[in-house]
Amino acid sequence: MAGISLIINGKSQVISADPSTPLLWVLRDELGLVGTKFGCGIASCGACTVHVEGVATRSCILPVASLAGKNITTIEGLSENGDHPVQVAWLENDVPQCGYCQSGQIMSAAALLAQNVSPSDEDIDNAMMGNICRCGTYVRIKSAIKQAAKK
Amino acid sequence: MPIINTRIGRRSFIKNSALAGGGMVIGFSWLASCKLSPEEVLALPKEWFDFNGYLKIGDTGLVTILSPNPEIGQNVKTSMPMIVAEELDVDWKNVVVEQAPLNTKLYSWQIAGGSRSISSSWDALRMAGATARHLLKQVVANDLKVPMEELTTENGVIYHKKSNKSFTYGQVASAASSLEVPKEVKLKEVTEYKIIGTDRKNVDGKKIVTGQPLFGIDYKEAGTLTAMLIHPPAFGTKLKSVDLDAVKKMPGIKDAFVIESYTDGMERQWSDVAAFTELVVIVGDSTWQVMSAKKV
Repeated sequence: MAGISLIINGKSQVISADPSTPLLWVLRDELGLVGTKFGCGIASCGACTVHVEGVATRSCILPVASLAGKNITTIEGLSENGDHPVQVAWLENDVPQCGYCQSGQIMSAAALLAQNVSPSDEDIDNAMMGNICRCGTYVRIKSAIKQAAKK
Repeated sequence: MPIINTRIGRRSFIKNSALAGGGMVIGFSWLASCKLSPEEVLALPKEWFDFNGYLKIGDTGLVTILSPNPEIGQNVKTSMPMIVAEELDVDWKNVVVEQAPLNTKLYSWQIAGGSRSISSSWDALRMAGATARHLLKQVVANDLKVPMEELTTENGVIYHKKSNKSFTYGQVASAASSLEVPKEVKLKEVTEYKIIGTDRKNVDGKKIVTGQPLFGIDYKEAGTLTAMLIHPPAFGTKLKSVDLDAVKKMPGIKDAFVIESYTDGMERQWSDVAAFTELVVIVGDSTWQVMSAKKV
């Protein structure tokens, strides 16, 4: 079986996992990119969010077979030095508590701001409603998105 | 000034030689990952000196504080070390926090629950910081042949105002770590607090927003296999049949077997009878292979 070729964080990678394997487990198990998290496994919590061609996508139900040649960005590749405006705003607003859902939150927020530079409260709610946080950091998430939008 | 008896945690004050830092091999990237702006903090020490189960001081004055309790989003990994740092009297920016391992002899109540982390460890955390500060001051008092009362501390520096001399914690850490621990030490007054009661950011913030390994699921040794359990659909139900051979034929599967969750002869309470008593275990090379085998 020929490996599927993906472009992950700007780097071309040939995947050896079975084509039915969801992207999440290719990232975590095969490539060691563990910033993307496993939450529910049924695309209902948002912890596994990555960008596929810039669009926020749940990686836990996405077979790698469907991604040949696609550009995928994970939390590790969002910025070189952890200084993407969303990451900076997240730190300045001290958003994370336990932190488990936050890479998914950040990827959803970054995708939103890439499409919409000044989102309204409603835009933020709509874009972020698929990302849940057991610690309940939603108020700070919203503040951080608004702060990042100004940059 | 409040005084605390060091006996509560006396067992934890294991005397350590200068070898204390021997097991710690750390690099700049490790520090950078813990600190938002590493250029502003003290340099990485060549050697660390253990004071007790809660803190180590490096020869540069950089401090490592171990947070004893599980962090589950309540931010105790930040707030517990703040208490130690307060009594030690160091600048928070020169503190690096590590998660302490489970050690029931060193720490009390390494549990997250009931909002008890801070209240149950309050005295021990203060004592750990205050004891180390006492020992550091003791070295200077001995060297200068002055009473301890003439010494003051601030942000990791010990001052003897009368002679206009000062020593950093890093300079005296080695000597202090081998001194006898006193029976009791003085604690700060609440009015002297500079860290407790202030906002400090999550010590793991940078790791979290950059997706670095932090959680149990993120750790793996070479050759680690993945194992998962299959629960029955309802509490108390029994396993009727399982085709373990079919499971073992699935790609990447190393083993599959049934376990009893209770040992033979265990006297069961009502809740044990109604629990998941029989479980199927599947072990394999990768998570998805095991997940797929669960569906067989």
